[in-house]
Amino acid sequence: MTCAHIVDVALRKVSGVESVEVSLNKGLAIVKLKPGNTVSVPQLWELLHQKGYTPKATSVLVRGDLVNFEGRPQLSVSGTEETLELVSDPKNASAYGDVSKKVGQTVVVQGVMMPAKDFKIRVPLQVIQVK
Amino acid sequence: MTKKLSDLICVLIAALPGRAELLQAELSIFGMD
Repeated sequence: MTCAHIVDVALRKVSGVESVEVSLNKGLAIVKLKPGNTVSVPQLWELLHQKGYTPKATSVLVRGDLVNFEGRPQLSVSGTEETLELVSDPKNASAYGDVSKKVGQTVVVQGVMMPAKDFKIRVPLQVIQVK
Repeated sequence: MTKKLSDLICVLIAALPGRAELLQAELSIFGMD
C-alpha cells in the first residue's frame, strides 16, 4: 500500500469529505467537502499526523460570516463552533483591506493556514482573496 | 421519533443563513512518497 493510498483512504473516511485527490509529485492532498460539513482544518492535520505524516501549509476555501471581534476581523464558522482569526498576507495586503469593508456579510475567503506544533492551538487564516 | 426530530433540527440549522463551512483544503504533506 502506497503512502498516497494511505492518505487517500484516511481522508475519505472523514465524515463530510466529498472527494480526495492525492498528488505524490506535489506532496499535496486536495480535499473537497460536502455542503453542511463540520470538518475543520486542524481535524485533517491531526488525522495526517496520526498516520505518520507532517502537515504543512494548507490552502483553504472557507465560507462564513465576517464579524468584528475586539476590533479584529474574524470569520465565524458556526458549523464547527470555530471562529477563524483573519490576518493579512503580506503578498495580498489589498485582500485584507476588503475584509473590513465586508464585515457583516457572508463571504468565501481563500487563504492559507499554517499548522502549529500543537494542532489544538488556534491558528489564523492568512487572507489571499475575499469573494 | 426523537431521532427524526433531531435530524430535522440539523437540517433546519444547516439551512439557516450565516452558516459557514470549509469548502476545500489543499494540504501540503511532508514525508509522503
